[in-house]
Amino acid sequence: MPTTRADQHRFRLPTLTGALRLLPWLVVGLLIFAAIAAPLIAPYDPIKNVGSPMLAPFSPGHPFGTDGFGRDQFSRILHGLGPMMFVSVGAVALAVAVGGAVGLISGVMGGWLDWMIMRAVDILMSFPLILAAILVLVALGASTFNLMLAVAISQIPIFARLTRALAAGEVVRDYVMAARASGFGMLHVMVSEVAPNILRPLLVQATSVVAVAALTAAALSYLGMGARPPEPDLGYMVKEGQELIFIAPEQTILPGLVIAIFVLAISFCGDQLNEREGG
Amino acid sequence: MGGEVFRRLIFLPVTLFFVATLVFLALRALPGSSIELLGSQFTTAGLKEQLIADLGLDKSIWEQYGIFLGELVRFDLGRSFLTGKDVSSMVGETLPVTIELAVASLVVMTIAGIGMGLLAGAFPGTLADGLLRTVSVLLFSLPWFWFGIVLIIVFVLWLGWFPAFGRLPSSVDYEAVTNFVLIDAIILGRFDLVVPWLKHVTLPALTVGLTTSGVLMRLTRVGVIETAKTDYIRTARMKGVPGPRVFFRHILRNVALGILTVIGVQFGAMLGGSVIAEVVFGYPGIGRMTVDAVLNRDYAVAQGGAIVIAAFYVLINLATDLSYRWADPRLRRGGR
Repeated sequence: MPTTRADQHRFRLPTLTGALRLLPWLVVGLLIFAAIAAPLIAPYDPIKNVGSPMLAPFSPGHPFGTDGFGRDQFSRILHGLGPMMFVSVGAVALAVAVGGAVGLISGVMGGWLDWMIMRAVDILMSFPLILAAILVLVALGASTFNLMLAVAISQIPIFARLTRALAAGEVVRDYVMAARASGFGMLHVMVSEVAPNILRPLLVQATSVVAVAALTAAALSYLGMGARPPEPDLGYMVKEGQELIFIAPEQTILPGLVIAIFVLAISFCGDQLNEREGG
Repeated sequence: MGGEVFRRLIFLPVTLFFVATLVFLALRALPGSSIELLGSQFTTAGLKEQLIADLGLDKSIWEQYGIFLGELVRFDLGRSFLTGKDVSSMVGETLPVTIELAVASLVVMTIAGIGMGLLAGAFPGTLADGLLRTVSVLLFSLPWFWFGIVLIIVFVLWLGWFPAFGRLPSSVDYEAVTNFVLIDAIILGRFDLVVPWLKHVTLPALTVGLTTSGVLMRLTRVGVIETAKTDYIRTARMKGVPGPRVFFRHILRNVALGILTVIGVQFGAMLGGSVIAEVVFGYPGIGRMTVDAVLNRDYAVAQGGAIVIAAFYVLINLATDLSYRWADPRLRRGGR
């Protein structure tokens, strides 16, 4: 029976074909545009009562109705997109930078330093991810920026381990041996020889992790540990809406749906990059 | 193998010590907040100082740390600042609730994940395969807490099939012995507890179990497809073994080991997931206890909860690793 190449790989999403392959990129692009242009396209101030009744139903004036405080839900969702992207992309970028540096040192230097770093990573990974992030937020206080830091810290050990494995694989290659035999220092070997060769798989992996980071951040916001109200935050909006599900279930469904669409689109984009990488 | 197991066991208390220290430090990075929270309720100045002294918060952070570690090795987790309840007994009440939920979620995940994986793997490249894979990706991409709320809207508000809140209806009078409802039901002969409990646990378990089933589904699917290509399966087919028998006796058996490992690893993840499910469904487990304590800055309860969750997580990962070695003889010889 015919199986495509894609079938043989683990953790592969259904392969999109033709024009459908462009869809996730379009969705992500549209969401980014909406996030940047939010102040221009949002019809109302996201944190002020707009003078309409509370929990107004969908209407041309309020495409997504109003929330329990009489605020325009469409404007709030638009303004919530930016923080969601800042937190998920920022957290992964930070985790790749820090985890990548640590993993690179560990993989290239080897020896006792490697052992120490990897045991520290083991300890950090012995925490459930969400618990580690909660503790960071407790220590730093709740805010959108700290939420980004918390998610980043919970991802650092994962990238440290991945980078170390990639780096350790490169160190034994001939070109690294040659560089070291030519008398180049360890720093040169790390930065100029090993790093460029492991960067691509690392970045491809990072794209997929953005989805996980977005979900983690949304969950923390839901628990009340992200942005401070009344700032618009999609995770917290689900929480606020949950208290009103008997009257207006759409107020909790919509913000969560937006998170889900973003995560899904990012997952598909990451997968297409993975495919090109031949992973 | 013995050496490796020994090393992991030696490492266990070291890990737990670091975990406890991290929890202690994280909760004290914002000094005095708990007292301010409590203090706002007292108007008399003397009462506040007395409270600070009673809780040991007037001591230096090093003294507090020493006391904390001293109590910890005696399994004394202190008392709640807010309710005065003993944290160890609070953990004793809430941890079984979470374990119940995690096991129920695991059952859902296993049935859904393996079921979808076998079906997709048996017919790769077909419409059913594509559909099942899409479903698994969808489930993975949904925010867990939101999926739980959607389940509440559909099954509680619209259909009215399940209750939305808590672990047992308040009308049921339940004197806990082990705090595991199913075990207590057998010990006490209270089989009337089972159905209400099942009704309450269904939606939280579906929330955690379905959203985590994607990994297992994909692994099962790939396992089936890869195994079907091996020489011994071709031999079996050529011998004339009927198709279903090849599938269940030959392919399934060889896929089982990989599946078992993933289930073990996922059990740890379930603990993290149940934290969120417990909050969504007002389920009185240790995750919700810890989150509430964090939000209220109830240090003793928060650190007790966090340490117990982390310790449990570490133990499960160790047990998974060991059982994997036991199940796969190749690792036993190679792991020296």
